[in-house]
Amino acid sequence: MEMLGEAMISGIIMGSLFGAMAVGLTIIYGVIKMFNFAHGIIAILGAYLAWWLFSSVHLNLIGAIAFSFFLMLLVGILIFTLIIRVLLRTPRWPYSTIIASIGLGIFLQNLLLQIFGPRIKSMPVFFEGNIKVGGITIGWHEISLILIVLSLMLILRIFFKKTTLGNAMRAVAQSPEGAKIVGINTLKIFSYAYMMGIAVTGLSGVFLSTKCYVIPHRGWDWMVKGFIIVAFGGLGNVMGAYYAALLLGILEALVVTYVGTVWVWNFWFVSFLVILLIRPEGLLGGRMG
Amino acid sequence: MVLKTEGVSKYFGDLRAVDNVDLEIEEGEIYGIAGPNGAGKTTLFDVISGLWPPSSGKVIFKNDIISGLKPYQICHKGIARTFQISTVFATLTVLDNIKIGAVFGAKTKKLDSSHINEIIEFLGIQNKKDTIAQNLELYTIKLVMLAAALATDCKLLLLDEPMAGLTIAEIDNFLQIIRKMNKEWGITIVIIEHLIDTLIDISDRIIILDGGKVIYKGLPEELTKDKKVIEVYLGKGEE
Amino acid sequence: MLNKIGWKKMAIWLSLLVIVLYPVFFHSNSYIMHIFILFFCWAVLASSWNLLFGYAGIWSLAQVGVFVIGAYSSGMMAKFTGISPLICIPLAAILTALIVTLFVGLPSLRLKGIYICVFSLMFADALPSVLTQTRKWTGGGRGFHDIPPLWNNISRVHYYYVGFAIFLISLFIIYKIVNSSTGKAFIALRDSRDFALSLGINEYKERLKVFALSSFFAGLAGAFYGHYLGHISPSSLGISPFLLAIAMMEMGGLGRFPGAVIGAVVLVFGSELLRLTGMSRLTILGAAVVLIMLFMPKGLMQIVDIIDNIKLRKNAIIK
Repeated sequence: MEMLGEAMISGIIMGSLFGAMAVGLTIIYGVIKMFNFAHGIIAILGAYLAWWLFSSVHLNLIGAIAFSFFLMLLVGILIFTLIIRVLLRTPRWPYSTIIASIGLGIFLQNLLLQIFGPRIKSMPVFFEGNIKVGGITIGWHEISLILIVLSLMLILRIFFKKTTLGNAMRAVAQSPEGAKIVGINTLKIFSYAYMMGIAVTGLSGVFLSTKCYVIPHRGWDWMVKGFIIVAFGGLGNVMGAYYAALLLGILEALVVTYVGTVWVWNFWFVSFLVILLIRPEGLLGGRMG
Repeated sequence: MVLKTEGVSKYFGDLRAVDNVDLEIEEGEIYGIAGPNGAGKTTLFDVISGLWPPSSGKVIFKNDIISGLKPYQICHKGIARTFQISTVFATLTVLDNIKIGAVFGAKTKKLDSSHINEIIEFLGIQNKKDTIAQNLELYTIKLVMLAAALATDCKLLLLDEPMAGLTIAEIDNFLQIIRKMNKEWGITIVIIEHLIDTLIDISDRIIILDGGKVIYKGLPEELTKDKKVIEVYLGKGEE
Repeated sequence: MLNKIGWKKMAIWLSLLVIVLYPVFFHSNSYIMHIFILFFCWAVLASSWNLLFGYAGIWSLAQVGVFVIGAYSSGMMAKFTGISPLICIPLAAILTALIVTLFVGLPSLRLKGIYICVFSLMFADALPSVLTQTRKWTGGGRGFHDIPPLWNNISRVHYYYVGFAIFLISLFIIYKIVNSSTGKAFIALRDSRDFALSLGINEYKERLKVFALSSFFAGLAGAFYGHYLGHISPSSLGISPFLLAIAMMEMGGLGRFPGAVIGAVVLVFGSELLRLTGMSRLTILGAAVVLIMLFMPKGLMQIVDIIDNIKLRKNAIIK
């Protein structure tokens, strides 16, 4: 029973973290309809920036995270302006963006490797100590992570439902032509969505780096997990990605506890296959919101 | 009777794009379809040609039920179509575009180059044969689309707004082509057209769709007298 | 028109002649011969990928995995059964085509564009873990060693010519496919799916065909590669070969015929030069992939087009 409880808790934590990462992916896909194949390394980049600001520039923890978020917004607008915008103007954009973002991801990955070296980086935990509930030990840090991600999701939800920009993004997501007709500058919305997606992803990387170690080439695995989560939740569905991540996180933890770690990757593959064959539009459908 | 639909409907979620449509199309006629935007005309074509299976109802072609068949099977039965949005194979030459129809569309699977030449001459695109399709202008693109459809050896041809965006002279040419195909080649034609006068001019019979439903079925001459049609379609001003 | 074919043909024959004669003159320099053999494998791999990705427009990212499957299956067949590798190589290619068509091709019939990307990527990513779990036979993470050579006491020159033969035959068949009605059907489905369907193309059949064909050639190249090197390991499934193959396909020109071969020439020899720069090889390659997409979206075939245009223009002036 305790084993089950612990598996559930760790599943919820990892699910929350990967959910936050997958949300960035789904925002970018939902609005621009392009898959960001540099996604994993963007999360790693966020983590590295925060780590560098914290340990080398000696900002405090909150300052480092906030400043890295700001830097990631800049990274997002930079990539969008220099690469994505140019490619979106060509008729071949659906696959030229795929190939270009694969190239970009590997470029960034190796750039990070050269700058920071191959040693493992990780951020300190937010809160020390832990509590015991019915024989199960939970760290305060883990609890804070779950709550932070939950509030992040709520903020995003409010953003998409209540704000003008959020509504405009949803409009573009549903029909770029329609949005254009009612006078929305789609290119601008694309750039905001891309920036937002990148910044949220960077933030998720920071959170992930407090739970597990970070080296550049882990980004690829993270990204593939992100893809599966997004496919589960329905492409472009923000809350869907979060719920799917929680579900898959818990299932993965159960697999690790009761079946064995070697089977984890097969588990992800099979779940992806199953969802694609049964419900290609994802468990929760494919709408933004 | 060549083509018959019995209570054909197509739903997308709650939207009834095509709602309980009955059609009987006789061999050798030109059958016109009109209706406001979003009336379900193109969706009806999609259902007949098999791109979407109908949600309910039957499509019968020469006594065979064809609803539920794959598009290529329906094409082999002898139904071809063109598209409203000018779609050709942009990176292939005009000749290759037509060959696709001839090789894959005809049941025999044998390339009959004299038939292809006949089509090319009939449509007057001999000198464009080796042009890559993406470099063509709109009128020729429409002709290429038509040529590929003809190359499938079709008995029934569905034309989806073939004259949209053409100049008056081009429309006249196109109408002649349609009549010729109908008279000389014996191809039954179903045509969706926005310009109601053109449609009345060319069709033997007409139906009007609105909101997925048939609101008028009959001769073109009586169309302009029909109250319902005037109300939902013609009454909205010139289109 | 004649002029256009003339210079292209000349370039092709000239380069083939150089490749054929190379070992005759430089027999002693086995390093460059090695690079050439690698080039043969890569060129076939990249061309087979181009068939799937460029021509058919199916965005599968698993092609390097397909190559590795070919290497493993031929190597294991030859080692465990003792059958001559010369028979194992084509058998392995067929086996690879079967496996890939079954596990990637069939499920992907239900999938569209981007989902095929993700699905095929996952398929390739699942391979190392499959290899680990079957380490009794496959050697797991340490790799599969002692793959028998093509025949006993084989020298590198022989590998060179066998590789060259595989390269030529594969390229010739791919060229034939691309220009056949089957190849046109792939392009038709890519350019305008609905129109292609309405003209009688059986989408499922054509898509399975292109999966089978492209994985046959990738498996063939992989099988030869395994016997040549004598070992194969999951590290071949890493980022570096993946990126190299993508860059070849892209640099040559997606959906253009000798494109991927041209890409392979530039990148195989270029990446040997890049080796001198040490660790930054992947950084440069990654950046190159982005830059090519931005500034040369049609790849090096664009240069061929430009030369063609100049020729045509010249003709026009003379006339």
